[in-house]
Amino acid sequence: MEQNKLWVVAENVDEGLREASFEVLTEVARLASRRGDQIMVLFCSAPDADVNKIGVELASYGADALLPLEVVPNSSRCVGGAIADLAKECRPDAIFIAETIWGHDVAAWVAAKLRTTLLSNCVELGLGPDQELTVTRHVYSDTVAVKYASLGEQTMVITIQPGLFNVKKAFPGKTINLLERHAAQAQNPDPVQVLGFIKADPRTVDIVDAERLVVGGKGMGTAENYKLIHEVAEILGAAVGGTRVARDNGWVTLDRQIGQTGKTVAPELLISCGVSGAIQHTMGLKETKCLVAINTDKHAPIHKLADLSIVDDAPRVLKEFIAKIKTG
Amino acid sequence: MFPRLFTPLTIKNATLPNRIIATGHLTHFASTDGLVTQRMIDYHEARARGGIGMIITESMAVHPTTAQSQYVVHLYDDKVLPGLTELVSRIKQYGTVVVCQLHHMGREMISVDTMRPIVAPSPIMDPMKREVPHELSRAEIKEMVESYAAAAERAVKAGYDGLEVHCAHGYLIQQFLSPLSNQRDDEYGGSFENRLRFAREVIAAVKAVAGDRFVGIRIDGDEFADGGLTMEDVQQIILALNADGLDYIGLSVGHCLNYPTIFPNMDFPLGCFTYLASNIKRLVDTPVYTSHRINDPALAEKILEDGHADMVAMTRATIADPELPIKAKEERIDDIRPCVACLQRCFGRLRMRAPISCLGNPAVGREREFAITPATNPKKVAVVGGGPGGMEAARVLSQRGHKVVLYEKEQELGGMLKLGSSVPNREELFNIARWQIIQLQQSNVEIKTGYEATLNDLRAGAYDAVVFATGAEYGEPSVVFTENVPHINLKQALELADDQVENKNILVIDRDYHNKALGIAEQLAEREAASVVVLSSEVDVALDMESINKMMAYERLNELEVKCLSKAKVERVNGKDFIVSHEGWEVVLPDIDLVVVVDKPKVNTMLAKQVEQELPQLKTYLVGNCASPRLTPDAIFDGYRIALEV
Amino acid sequence: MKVVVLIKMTTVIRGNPNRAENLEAILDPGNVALDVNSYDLAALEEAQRLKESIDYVHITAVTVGPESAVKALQIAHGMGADELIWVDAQYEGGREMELAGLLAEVVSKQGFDLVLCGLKSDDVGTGLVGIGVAEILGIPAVTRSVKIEILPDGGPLQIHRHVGKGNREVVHCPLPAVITVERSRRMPRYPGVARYLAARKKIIRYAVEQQPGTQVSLRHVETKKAQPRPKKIFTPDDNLSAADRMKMIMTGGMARKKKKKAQSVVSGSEQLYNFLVKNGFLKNKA
Repeated sequence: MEQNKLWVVAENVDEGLREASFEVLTEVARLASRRGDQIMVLFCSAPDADVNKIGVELASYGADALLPLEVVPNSSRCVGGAIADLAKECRPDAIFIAETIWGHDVAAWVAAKLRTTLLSNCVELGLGPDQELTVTRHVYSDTVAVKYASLGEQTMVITIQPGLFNVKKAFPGKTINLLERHAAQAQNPDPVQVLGFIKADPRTVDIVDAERLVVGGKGMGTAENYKLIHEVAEILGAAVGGTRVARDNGWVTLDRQIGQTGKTVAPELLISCGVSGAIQHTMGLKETKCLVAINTDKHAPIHKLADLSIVDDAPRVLKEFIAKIKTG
Repeated sequence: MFPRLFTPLTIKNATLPNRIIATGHLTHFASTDGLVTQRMIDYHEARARGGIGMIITESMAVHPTTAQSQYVVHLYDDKVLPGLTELVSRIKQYGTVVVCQLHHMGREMISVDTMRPIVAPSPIMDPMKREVPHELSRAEIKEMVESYAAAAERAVKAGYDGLEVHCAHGYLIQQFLSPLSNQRDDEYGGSFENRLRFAREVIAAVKAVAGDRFVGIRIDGDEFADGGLTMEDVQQIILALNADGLDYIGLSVGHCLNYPTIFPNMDFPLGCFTYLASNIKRLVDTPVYTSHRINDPALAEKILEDGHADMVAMTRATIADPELPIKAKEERIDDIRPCVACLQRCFGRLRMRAPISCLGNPAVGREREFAITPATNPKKVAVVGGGPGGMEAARVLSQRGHKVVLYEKEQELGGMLKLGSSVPNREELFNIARWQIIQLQQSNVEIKTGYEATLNDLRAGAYDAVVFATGAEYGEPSVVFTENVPHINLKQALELADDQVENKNILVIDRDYHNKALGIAEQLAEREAASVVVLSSEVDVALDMESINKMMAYERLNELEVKCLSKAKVERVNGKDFIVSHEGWEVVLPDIDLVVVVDKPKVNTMLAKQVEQELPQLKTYLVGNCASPRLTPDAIFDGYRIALEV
Repeated sequence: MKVVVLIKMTTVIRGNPNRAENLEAILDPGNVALDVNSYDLAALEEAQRLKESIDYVHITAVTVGPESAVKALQIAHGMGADELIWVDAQYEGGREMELAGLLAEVVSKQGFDLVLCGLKSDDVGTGLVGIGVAEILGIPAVTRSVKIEILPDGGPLQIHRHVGKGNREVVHCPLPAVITVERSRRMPRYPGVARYLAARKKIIRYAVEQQPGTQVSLRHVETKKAQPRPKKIFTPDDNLSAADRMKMIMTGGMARKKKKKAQSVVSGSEQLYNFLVKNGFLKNKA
């Protein structure tokens, strides 16, 4: 563990590791290859996780070693504590974590326990003239960039803004040193108890966060017709959005407008009703996984992007759809 | 609406009023003796007047051994100075920054234009032009570097704000950079440092004479050729050149081994090469521009907002509408005439060695003669037919102050473009009709859709003139090989129901020689026909189709397993089996269910002829296909031209 | 219950920083203003709501900073804080844990059941101090709270914390504790004018003998105008062949979807229904 000077803490999601963790790893690997450093990835592993498979994947991104952690309880405080204890022992140059909700909390606990500063939400990593690590943060609402360099005395704790760095398997075929699972039992069990989880209410959730969206545009015609959008959204547990035209007509509020002058959304399902799909709008929905377009104009650009194109009058389709659901 | 697009950018001593730029592009407006013409000045001035931030003019020849065609500016000769000075001053008066592109083709040209041997770092045949170049000696390399400097000096004298050393598109400098074209064993070849030497020397020589003018480069971000430069190789090159000092870096793509990428057509996703600029922008502080398939100010703003580049090249978009920057600034988005990346009149005409034009914008290169001026004597004009030609006529007539009534027998405007854009990968083509429709809706043209104009209408309407844009129609197939198999025309093919297509063996006869046979073949294949074969008597199917569109279409057809038989002829039919001779061999196409005969359409001039007989006093004009069946850009050009004549 | 709220003033850049030529133009005194950290306002609001829900809450607002920091206390008082403490000291970036140590000392001296603070600051936004105080005091911490409730009969606090995508986690936390507060839909109340004006007289000033920073192992390299950082962008792998790289470009980014373009005889609503069922967005009723 001692020879690994750069640590990357990866975050688990349901199906594996978070994309942002790979972004961090790719960027750290770029620096490591220039500095001749070794990278160790730490991640909280479920007892039944296939660490070999994860290790092979991480290696292709540039990881040299993998340390599965088993922390009880698995709160960000205890995970941070376990990592800080290891860091005190092994003294890595830096610990990198993606700035997600979990990542920030863990990083803050690590920094607090190491009594060091937290370089959060960094946007750039680099090397100085003496190959020392440099990091750049944006402050004052992204208007001013401040760059720091490591003095090499203390472990730096760095979180990295997601969505900036490209993910790349730059080291195909590289092998990884799979370390023995590290089990840590917190001395003082975290007194904070998790009791439950409340799913976001589609009616109030920020459309940026919505998993399902029903979006209306010019083709909805009237405010009366726009109520159909709300009804369908209710049926599907979806949030309601709109185009610029919908906002200009007062059918939706500004915080529900999608597109270049509105928000960028990334739902699992988006039903687009009476939207032509001018690029000013479609730029806001290119992260959509499954797009249904309903528009009378078969040449409307939205059809080009859709998984299901329905060339028909949107209000009529919605009306019939609602009737079908209601009658069963 | 576009805060970043309209934030000025300072490069050394020049300040761009906004981030929209036009990259160096050959227009063929130069004279055959290599001089700047009035036409070229007017063309660039129109773009400057439209508010663009920076124009990189043409691609100018630095040495007598280079010429893209007969119509390039001879920057290697002092004779160009008066014209060049005029060009620069006319662009500058609008606050547009103007940059001179220093260009040498190397081996990627034919000697027909220079009557001299073509030159390159190594005597390796150019894969596209198929000429073996003369290997430059070290003395000749020195002379070449000096000629870059001399050309740069002329540009400085002419008043340019900046100079661009063209290191992209597989031309001379890239030929030195790439191990594919540089196999020298002296100090200009071999190692990375050696291959870089020529570029370094040229840039240093140009900088030495540039004085207070800025110097940038345009370079391919990836050579897209196996064994050639990859993105990471190019990054190392750029970092090395940038360390010597560059004022900007333009990222481009495309050369002889992948030439559709130079002019990406509508098959390419929007902004698909922006990643090349983005990945350089991460590494340098020097301003970076990106280009290729950026046709909308919203997309450009997004690219800036996401930090991928500092400037956005919208060259073809500003050919289509020189006023794009002003319209974007004034938030008149719907008024921007779109570039649909059809290539028919920009790249297509360059390939025919003709001056560029634009499918949607007939005024390109005719800025003076095609200026829209108010009519001295406003008339009442009927336009019959709402296709692209008729709409264009109505649009321009109305702008000139004429009172216009537009008749369209179908419910929707768009004419032949509705068909043309209904085949796969051509949907974007309809954007030009959509723009015309919006313009007409905003004008005071009276639009009568779903109404077929009659002689009585024209008689009763008290019109001073009638413009016929009644188009052309597909009649009975011009050939029927057998009674056993139904033969249909193109329009009928587009209207086939699913069960008439699915699992059928379909033969497409190309007698149109343009894109239509490939279009319908692709559509039928996508709709899951069992097999589709396209047959042409010519050396190529779709012989006259623009070359990049054709290459891309062939590739897609290949994936769909559509067979294209050129130099082919149906010899006889046995039952439903077609025996076809194909390049001297006889092949059998068994069990054909349907034959689609793609003919040239027949003009529809019925009403025009009636008017000629019954209302001889009425002045009439013919526009587009009803004059002679041609292509969309011809119809739009006709409409515009006639509208100025009325 | 004694609630201590940690607040601070933050630097706000006005005007259009995009158009600013350089750092000096951005930081031109005409463009720079001070404002109370919006997350801290949310924390003050949360404290106030606690006070309204039970009748034995005492709120102390604490700020650390130069003379200008006092305005934060005036606003806190205007919003209803009972006691105001101004620690006259300055900590530059990188010394958050020293600041946390100082705050831990101040709140311990003051006595507390609950420490509230903003999740992070608007200007520098490190987001470390709240957790730092909890760590130094050795007490539990809950981050990103959007709702705090006091359970009856001296039970723990019930806290809704934001866990992304609008979802919430419900946790129980015993006292004493630190809670960092997320900005939520609930607008912080406006400060009452009379209390705002009366605040200055109530402020208790602590002067601190500051040690020069010793813990920081960072060297400040430079400060300049921020350039937008390129966002992640689809980039084909250099190790692929040229043809494969090109193929990826043709389908990457805003790719059009391959689909069968058949004129369907099924009505639009049927198509929609079948599609949603087929893709698991809707349960088939039949």
